[in-house]
Amino acid sequence: MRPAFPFSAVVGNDLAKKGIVCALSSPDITSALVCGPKGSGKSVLARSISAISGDRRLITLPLSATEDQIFGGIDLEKTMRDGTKALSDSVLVRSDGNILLAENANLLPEAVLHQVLNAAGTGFNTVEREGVSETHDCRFLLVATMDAEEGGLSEHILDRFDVCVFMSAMEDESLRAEVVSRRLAFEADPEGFASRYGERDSRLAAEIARARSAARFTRVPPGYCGAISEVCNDLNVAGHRGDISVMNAACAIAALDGRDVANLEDLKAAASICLEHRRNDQDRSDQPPPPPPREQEREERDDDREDDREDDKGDDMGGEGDADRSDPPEDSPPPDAPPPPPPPDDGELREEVFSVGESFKIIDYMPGADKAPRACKSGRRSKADSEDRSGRCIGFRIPRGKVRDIALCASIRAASPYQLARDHGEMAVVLEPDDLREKVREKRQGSSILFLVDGSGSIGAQKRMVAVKGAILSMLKDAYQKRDEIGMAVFRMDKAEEILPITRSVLKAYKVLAEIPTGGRTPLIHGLIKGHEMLREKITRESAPVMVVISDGKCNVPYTPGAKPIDEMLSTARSMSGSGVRFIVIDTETGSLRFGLALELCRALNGTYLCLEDLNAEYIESSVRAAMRDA
Amino acid sequence: MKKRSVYPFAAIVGQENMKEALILNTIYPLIGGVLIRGEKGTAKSTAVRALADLLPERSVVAGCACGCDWGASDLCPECIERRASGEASEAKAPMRVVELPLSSTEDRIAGTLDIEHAIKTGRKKFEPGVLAKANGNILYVDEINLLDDHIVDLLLDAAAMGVNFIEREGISYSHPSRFILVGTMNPEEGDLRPQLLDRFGLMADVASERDEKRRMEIIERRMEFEKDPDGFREDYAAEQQRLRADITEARSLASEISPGPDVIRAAVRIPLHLGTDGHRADLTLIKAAVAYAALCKRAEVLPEDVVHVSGLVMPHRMRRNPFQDSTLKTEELDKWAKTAFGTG
Repeated sequence: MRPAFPFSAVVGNDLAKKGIVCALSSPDITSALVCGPKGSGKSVLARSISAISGDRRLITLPLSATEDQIFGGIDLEKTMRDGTKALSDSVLVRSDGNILLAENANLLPEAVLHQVLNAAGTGFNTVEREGVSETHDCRFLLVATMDAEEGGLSEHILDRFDVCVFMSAMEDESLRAEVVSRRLAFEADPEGFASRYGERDSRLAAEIARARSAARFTRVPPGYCGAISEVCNDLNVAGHRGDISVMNAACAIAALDGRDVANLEDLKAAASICLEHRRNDQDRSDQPPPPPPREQEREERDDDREDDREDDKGDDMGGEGDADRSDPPEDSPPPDAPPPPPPPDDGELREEVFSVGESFKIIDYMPGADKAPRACKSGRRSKADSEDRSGRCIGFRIPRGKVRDIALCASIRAASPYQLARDHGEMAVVLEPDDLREKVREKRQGSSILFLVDGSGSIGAQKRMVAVKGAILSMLKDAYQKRDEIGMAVFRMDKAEEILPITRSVLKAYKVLAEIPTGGRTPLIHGLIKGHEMLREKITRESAPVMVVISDGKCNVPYTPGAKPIDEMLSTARSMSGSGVRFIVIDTETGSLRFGLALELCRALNGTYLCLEDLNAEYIESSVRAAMRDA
Repeated sequence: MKKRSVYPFAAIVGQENMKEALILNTIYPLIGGVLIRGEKGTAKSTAVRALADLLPERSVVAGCACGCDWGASDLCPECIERRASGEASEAKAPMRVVELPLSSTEDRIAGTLDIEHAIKTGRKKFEPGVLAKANGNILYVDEINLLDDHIVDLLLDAAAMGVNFIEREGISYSHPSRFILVGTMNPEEGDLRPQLLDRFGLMADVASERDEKRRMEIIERRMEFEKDPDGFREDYAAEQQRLRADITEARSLASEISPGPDVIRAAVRIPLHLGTDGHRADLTLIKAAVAYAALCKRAEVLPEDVVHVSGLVMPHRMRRNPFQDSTLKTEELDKWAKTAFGTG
């Protein structure tokens, strides 16, 4: 086997390396996440773990893995031979006592990642699939990598990771040169290069093995527990997983250093690798930029949803309520606590965490986007079960009606227990209609969004177009991340015009946006009809396209000559409201004298109403995204 | 099926950028592939398919479905067995262009359970997919920006490690999958995912020929080829042979070249100057510069080579947000390089 890049040869990123070593050294830390932009060395670091993990092997969880193979199902060969159902040698079975590596974990189906994290956390896996019912041990460390640019993880999933470290590319010229030189040397002669660092790696491996057995007997002085809780509170860390991770990590760090009691330095180091991904800066005035209230609303809504799911899974972490948070059980140090934590140290602790906050920004390189890695946690794409045999196969089921998309492998497995009893002829496997399974597919795709822009004089004259463009721009940024399709139409003078056919090219949309013409009257009805025409073919059973109408609603051109424009607009809108398109109306009306026509239009469309004035362009995309979910 | 005649690479008019990018990759496969970006009808696909004719032979393990390299340290499980039992033997195979059609399904790309085998014998056997065929070869995806997201994930996974891990349908298998990824796209049809974009070593922009005389030439050659493909290929046989010899020579030369500190310094400073993310640009600059020096029949790589290839390495890494056009101002960079490295 070709050797992995040596761990000791990874240049810089000391905190990330420390986090990984710490995770390997603790028997109680079961998951670690490595975040970083592309080309920062996430995979190299994650793969290099095999050089320092001793006899624990690195098991890979590929993105293309099927669920039965990850979690276990029926074993074809054994079952056929013996006629009794046997559990297959799944990824989780093989992970027991090893390390499971999931690269690009943010691209895995969320349910899969959730279940893998669950298995890692509890140390066992229960299989209830394909007639197999079994529980087996699987004690493993999950190491996951992700690049937040491709979509983040939900806050809930993030919180499940005990440790999270951030990789960044070197900024210093000589360090960069070192990175490149080492990589070239490795590629030219992997074995030779690995052996040059072999001694350092095996020394580290021995230290890790020793610390791993000692960490269980290492303790955090009771007096410090209060400090941990306070820091967690301070960073607004929800739930108690953060506290527990910090304790475990501090023990591992102390054990690595050969001590059996953790000190304050250990705690600081532990906090910097365990809490960064859990912090919630909502009400910290000193943390730029302060997210607007709408952002918070969205998160709360998300949390609700996650909590529901949590309940379904019967999770063991009860009481994540706010009330618990302010009153952790071990708040006051018992009288016999050896080193009582002096208050100034607490201040220091806080300072340390801030300095880590700086490094957090490095990966936040898409201007205007949320902080990574929870950049777009609100379900990066709409997912829908696909009925037309396209999309990723995520599982199988007993067919509903006629089998169209047969899952052959699953069918064979379903038939395997009965083969001993069946009449075979030439074949080893005989399938009967009852064995047949069909594939369940999922399409991960963006939505289709049409921006219908009011280009009339009233918008142009009052320079409102600047704000409108700002709003569209921020939504385009979001669309780029979510791989949405976008189109644009503008209505002005006496007609509506398609200025951008539905496309996935955001760059093109941006160019068009810069050149939106304004002036003339407001033929809103023409716009609605044009927009609906553009979206019509996007209406499917699985997903509804979205029309974002940006206007003040002051329609003054009738579609049918002689009709009253406003009345006609509202009746047209009403007729469109049930047609499979979701509507969002962004009202551009300002000033003290208001007609509220956009609101009326929105009611007629049965859409979601947002007011441009209230929307901070920076965060408009989250509002629209939230509205899209509700619409 | 009769083998379709391929248009000779040497007969392609113009598009020097694209041709150079393709050739550099065949000289130094670790460069990481080419993304060819341009409007339709600019000989993108023709060039990639024509490249097949120029590709050198590889040493492979005879009979391996995953095309394992003879002498490589990472092999597929079957080759490990072959080697252990002493059955492995060396064979020569031409490097190929393996196409990945847009409609491919996940199981056909990654490989999966051989169903026929399972039904006939009741035993599990791995059936290799496109990623196995592509090992050691060129993997070509036309209109790569239209590829489904979950298929792109597969490519990213394999490209990151050079290994294809399969955990599907009761099959657990892994085999080497080192390929030169060549993609073409028309930017009008949509963007490429940033992670995939970054995986491409080089990018070549192509545009249709503006010069009237050369346009005429393109059409004349094409018509000549269509009338008599074999005769046309005969006409270019000598030139093709020369190109092939050049590539073979450059390949062996490139393996001898080791970049000095000034080259590494240049390769580090250009991405820093342009403000691109990650270390991939630095590495690719060096590899492409080495390949270019070898193509120029030099046994030494110079900072000038790094500046030269930055026109292919940097453009697609310039975008820091989706609204910037990914263009590189080459004159500006040349001017800066002149003062920074004293290159001419």
